[in-house]
Amino acid sequence: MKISILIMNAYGMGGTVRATFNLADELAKRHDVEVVSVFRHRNRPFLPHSDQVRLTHLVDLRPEAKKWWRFGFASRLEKPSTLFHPEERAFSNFNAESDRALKKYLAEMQTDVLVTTRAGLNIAAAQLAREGVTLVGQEHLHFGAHKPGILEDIRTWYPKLDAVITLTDADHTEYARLLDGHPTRVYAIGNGLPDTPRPQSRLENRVVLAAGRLVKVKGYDRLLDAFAKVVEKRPDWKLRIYGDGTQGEKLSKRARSLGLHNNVAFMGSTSDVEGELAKASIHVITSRFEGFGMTIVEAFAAGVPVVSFDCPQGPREIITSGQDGILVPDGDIDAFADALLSLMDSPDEMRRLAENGKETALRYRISEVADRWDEAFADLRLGQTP
Amino acid sequence: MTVLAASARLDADDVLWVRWAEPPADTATLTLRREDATHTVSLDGDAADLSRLDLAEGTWSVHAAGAEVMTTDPGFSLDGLVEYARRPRGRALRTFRAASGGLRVGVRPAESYAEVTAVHPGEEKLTFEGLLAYGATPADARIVATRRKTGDTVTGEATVTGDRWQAELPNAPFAVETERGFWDLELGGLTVATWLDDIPQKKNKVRFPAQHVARDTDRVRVRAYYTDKDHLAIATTVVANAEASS
Repeated sequence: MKISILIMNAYGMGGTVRATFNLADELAKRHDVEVVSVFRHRNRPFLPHSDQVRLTHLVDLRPEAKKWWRFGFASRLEKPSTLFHPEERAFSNFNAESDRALKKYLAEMQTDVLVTTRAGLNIAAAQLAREGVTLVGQEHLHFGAHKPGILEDIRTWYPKLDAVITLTDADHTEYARLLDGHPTRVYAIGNGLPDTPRPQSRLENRVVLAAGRLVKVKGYDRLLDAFAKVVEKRPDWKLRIYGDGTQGEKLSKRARSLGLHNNVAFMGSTSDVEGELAKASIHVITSRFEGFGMTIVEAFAAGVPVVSFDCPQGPREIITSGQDGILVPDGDIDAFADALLSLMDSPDEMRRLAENGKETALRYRISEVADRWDEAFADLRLGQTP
Repeated sequence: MTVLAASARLDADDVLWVRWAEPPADTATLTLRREDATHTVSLDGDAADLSRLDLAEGTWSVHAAGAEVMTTDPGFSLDGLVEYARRPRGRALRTFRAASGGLRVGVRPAESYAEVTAVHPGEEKLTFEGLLAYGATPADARIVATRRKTGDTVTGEATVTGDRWQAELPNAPFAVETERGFWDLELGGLTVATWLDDIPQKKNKVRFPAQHVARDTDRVRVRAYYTDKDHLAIATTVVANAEASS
């Protein structure tokens, strides 16, 4: 069976790209798998993937590809997309050229199953995919993150998909309700981690780590405010924030005005989040919402406890508060600082949570996650390899 | 076959201690490789003495029984890096896990210098804290900022207690500027840098608040920053009063 996974940019970084490569690598042991990246802006992907996975692209943005640009390409890059709803959260990344390339790809693709990985691509596939391809739309954002306009498009077009795969049970409930009365199947399948040996933290460094794009939704403004309270009592602890993004300068300024310049480092992006997590003793999530929270599972697997705001939707389904991490009422900065301080003051508690987290991580082994995808494919009558 | 270490750490005597998760077929020796060079060292139980190997500067991979040694140990602790730097040394070794999962030994020359651990920009003066690395001894109890372009200097007092140091520079003398200036720091003749925090290329990762020295029609902004080599330095910029907020 040939499976094509369509993603906005496989050459970038972040939890969605890592999760997609993890899944593609594992499915490639069982099927013919290609990852189709709408955009390509660099020669090699930022994150590693298996040789068994073919990586192709639709729109080449590399400067050296300029000589191959066809007539009208440059002006189409400047024109906004008409295929995507303006409320698609990545709307500004798409344009008239990606519309053209996507329409052509969806009409001509040679594959058995197309997995699309965000609302805009799910809708485009439902509208434009040729007959005979099984369409599986994956949702990396939680249901409540969609604005009303795009939600109307979702309501209109998702019934044309064969299946919707959510990352959480809560989203499964929402989409099952939305698709009630339609043949579209809904499955909840979380992201998975490769079964390879993973670096392990000894919880010996006074380092708190956060990772994810420096954008508003990740809530790093809230993290800095909480960490300023922590540092009043524990000035020996450091915060490392991994990721790049539009809020970088603003956050750096906020850190300075909070007097955190000796305690916070903005580390930039890394291709080795698991290695960096293993140097830390606490992983923090301060997101305003989090579709899944790939780094939570990665931290558990590295033996690092997680302190997270109880934001919708991922963290509360992965973390059992008091067992393998701490969930703090969403937005309560003082409680977040207190949770961090309580762990810093109690290495035994930190170790207990870390040990339990390693157990939790086992539930997210990619082999088991891929089994569930295969069960879904079988359910969709596609189980047999031709 | 996979050879996997659950723990691989270097002690202050440059002995590498390895605990195996998946041991090699032959546990008698380890081989370090870099480009075409190799060094083989005997493994005595779980200890390999790297102190006598003539390792060239750079990053070495570690092999056992023909296979690369992989590791799940980050390879060092931050306190351990500081502890390692407490002794005078001609070269510094460091074990770490590469992104690929492979065990690595980093080798670099170790000059004695003043490690900075904190910077406190105050209204009147900039205060620094740190430790003396690799047996460093300051020639005098002064911190000196030297302007790169002109050789002008600003001097402040330093105090040394054991291997800890503290120093302060007044902000006002930096306000001699009519243009942008960069000032390098020395503590009693020693390089002033931050190299023991596992954060290379700090320039844009760690940024310090600025202070302003008021003048008649403008102000001079004084800001500590890290150079491309992670030396601590001072940047001064003349700004009109209207733009003075940092």
